Order: sequence, then structure tokens, then C-alpha cells
Amino acid sequence: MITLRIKDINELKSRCGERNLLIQCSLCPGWNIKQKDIDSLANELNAELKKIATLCNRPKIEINPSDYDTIFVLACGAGVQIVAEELKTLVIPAADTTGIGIKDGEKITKYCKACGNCILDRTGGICPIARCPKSLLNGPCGGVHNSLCEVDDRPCVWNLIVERMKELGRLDELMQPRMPKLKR
Amino acid sequence: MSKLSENFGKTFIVTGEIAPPRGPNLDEFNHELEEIKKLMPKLYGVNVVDIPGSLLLMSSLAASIILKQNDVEPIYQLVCRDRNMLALQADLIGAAAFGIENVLALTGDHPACKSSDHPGAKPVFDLDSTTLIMAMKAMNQGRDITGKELNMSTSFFVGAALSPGATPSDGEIYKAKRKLNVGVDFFQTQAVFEPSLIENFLDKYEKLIGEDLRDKILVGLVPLYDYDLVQFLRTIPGIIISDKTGNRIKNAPDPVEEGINIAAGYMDKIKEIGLAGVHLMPAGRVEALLRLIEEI
Repeated sequence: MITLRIKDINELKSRCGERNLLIQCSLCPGWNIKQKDIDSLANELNAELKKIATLCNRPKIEINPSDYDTIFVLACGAGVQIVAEELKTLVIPAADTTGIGIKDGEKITKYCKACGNCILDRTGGICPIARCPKSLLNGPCGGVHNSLCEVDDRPCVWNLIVERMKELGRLDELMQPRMPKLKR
Repeated sequence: MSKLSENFGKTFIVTGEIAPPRGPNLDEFNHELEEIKKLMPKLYGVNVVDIPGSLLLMSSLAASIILKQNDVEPIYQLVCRDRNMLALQADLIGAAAFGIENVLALTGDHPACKSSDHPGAKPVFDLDSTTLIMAMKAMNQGRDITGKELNMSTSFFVGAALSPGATPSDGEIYKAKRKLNVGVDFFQTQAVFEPSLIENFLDKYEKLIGEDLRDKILVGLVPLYDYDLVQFLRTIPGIIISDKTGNRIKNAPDPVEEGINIAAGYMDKIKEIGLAGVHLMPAGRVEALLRLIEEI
């Protein structure tokens, strides 16, 4: 699912007017954030909450923008653009789109960056583009310590790749260099 | 042909390091350069760091050109963090045009790493250390990374980093082999304070890869000049300083002298192991480095 991170609440509040609307896409936000927390967000923004089915299907949006001073959209970047196009008005994204993720219990981890150049067959099925802060094709970098990343103490994904390639008996492939895409 | 490439593998190599200034005033930089210049007969090159730890400094290319113009042979450090593949190659063409041949290809610390003063900077990492080595090897054949011809081939002598203290070391070992596969000429390590660390790494490399790496490696050494430096260095990933070494500095009547004795002792051990040489780093105090070089 697309992963979202709600923007700083004070930053959002500073955009509020008298009459506010929070449009929620029915698909990804509910997977990322509990509905009660989305309800609380609407409450904090003093906004009416309106859920619209799967914005990426470009549904008809029956809202009159002149009824509101501020329209927030809780959706991915594509969903925010659809609302802006349909309503032909300024809309405020309520969240940042951070990637494509998976859930381990309650915890969401980014697994894909939609980079358009999938190399998972060459990295043991583990994505260094989304999961390494440097998106290295030829890792690990020198910053790994006790198997942790230099940036934010997450497990170094290149160590996971090395271990997976060992299990798969494909270490020879790991020692071959990978070039980025040089042509479109 | 650079002095470094000409002598590498033939004699015990010693290199130094200088940091470009944090601003356009060159007074202090020129002073350090004059001091280093006096020691050049003992050095085979001087590393010019490229925004280490994502802490802003003058560009390493500009500083390397200044070294070159002062008859000090630079080892131009180039990181992939701040430039895409066009800019990296453009700077390399510029370096070659100024007669710079030694280049240390580095991936670079992330702008959001702990030491950074620009944590919001956009990281590039279009290439990484391995593919930057490949770009330079292509340029040495008269072509850019895409295979398109240049008007003349370059003569880069290409180095790369090695972190013998990386834990676990397996990934570092396979990456070192990958860099060798693409033609890297030499390795320069992170600062090492316990010779056993490098011995263990070399043993493991030989066990996993079946090759001996020692004739390619310059070992990073820092003269420990006080106990605050010991404590600071211990916070850096990959750096291990034993209690025994730390206490020697802590309890010494003259810590600078003791730090030089320790580093000189390591240098003997490094020669005994059969490594290619040492890379001496000042860690913020160039006088200690100069005194260590005088000991050689």
C-alpha cells in the first residue's frame, strides 16, 4: 500500500479558515492510520470529514469548493492532484507520501520507491533503492556498524542482502558491479 | 604518471591529508600547505577531503588545484553524495586538465548523518564508489561512462575506501572484491588503532575470497594527541580504540608525544605485516601529524 505520514499538525492548523473540509481517500489512508486518529485530525482542524472512494479511480467529487475556506486532502500525492483537478481550487495535502510499504503488526516499513527500474532479481528480492538511505546499488557503505545504518540505526539493508545471497548460494553475483540506468 | 602510482608497491608509501578551508580566506590553509610542503620528500601524496561528515568546506577540487599549483601532489577525494554522474565526470575532466591523477573514489556520508551541518541537503548518490571507479577507468580508456569518446584519455590512479572495522565484515569484504573486479588501484582504510583489526580483516578476506589484499592497502593512522580525541573517535562507526591504548594517552605526561610513539609503533607493525603503506590523518591538529611525519 502507499505509505503516508501526516504533516506537522501546527503547520496544518496554520492553514485553517473558518469553514474547513478534510477529504479522505477511502483506500490508503485507512490502511496507514486508524480511523479514530483520522477523526481526531478532522476535529483538530475543525474540519468536516468527507470520505471519497478510491481517488485514483478519478471519481466524481460532488463538493462545492466555495462552501469552504480551506480544503485539506488526506491521500497520496496522486489523490491530492485529482481533487485539485476536479475541484479546480487550491487544496492542502494533509500528509506526505513516503513510498510503498508493508505492515509488520502495527509497524509500517517502506519496501518500494516505485523507481521504475526493478532489480530485485539481482538483490535476493530485497530492495536497496527503497530501504537504503543512499539507495546504493553496490553496498554496503562504510557507515554500517553492528549491522545498523549510519543514518537512523535501522538494520543495514545491504547486510540483509549479503545474508540472503549467501542463503541462495549466489555470492558470485554479489561481487559483480551494478551500474545505474544510463539511458532512458 | 603520479609519484604515488610510480612508487606504489615498490616502496613503503606514506600519505598525508589536508582539509580545505571553511570559507574563501586561504591564510590558514596556505600556512598548513607550507608546513606540509617542507615534508613532501617523505610523502607520496596528500589527501584533500571532500566535505567529510557532510560538514561544509571549500570544494576538494579547488583545494586540490591549489595543492597542484604549489607542487604538492594531491589525492583528490571525490564523493558521490553531492553530484550526479554528469557533474562527477565534469569535475574529473577538470581535475585531469589541471594534472591531477590520484583520486580517491568515495560514496560519501549521508547528509542526514550525525555529524552533518546540512541535514536537509538532497543526497544524490547517482553513482557510488564502485561505479565511480568504473567511470574513471572508462575515462582512462578515453571514454565517458556511457562509452562516448572524450577528446583525450585521462591517467587516473584510483583509490577506494576500506573499513576493516565494519561489523559484520562480510559485506565489506565482498564490496572490496567488487572494487578490485572493476580495477581499483589501491585501498585506503578508515583510521585503525589496533593492528590486530587489520590482521583479522586480511585473514577473513583471504579465507572468503582466496586472495591476499595486503599489497593494495594504505592503513589510516591518526596520532592521538589527547584523551578527548580518543573519546570522540570512539563514537565514529568502525573505529575501535582499546582501553590499553586509551589509557596510555590518558595517563601520559605528554599525550602528544605518547600519541606519536603509539602511531610510530603501529607504523612498524604495518611494515612488518607487509602492507603497502600508511595514510596519516591530522584529526584537526596538523602539528601532531607533522611531528609524526618527521619521525619517519
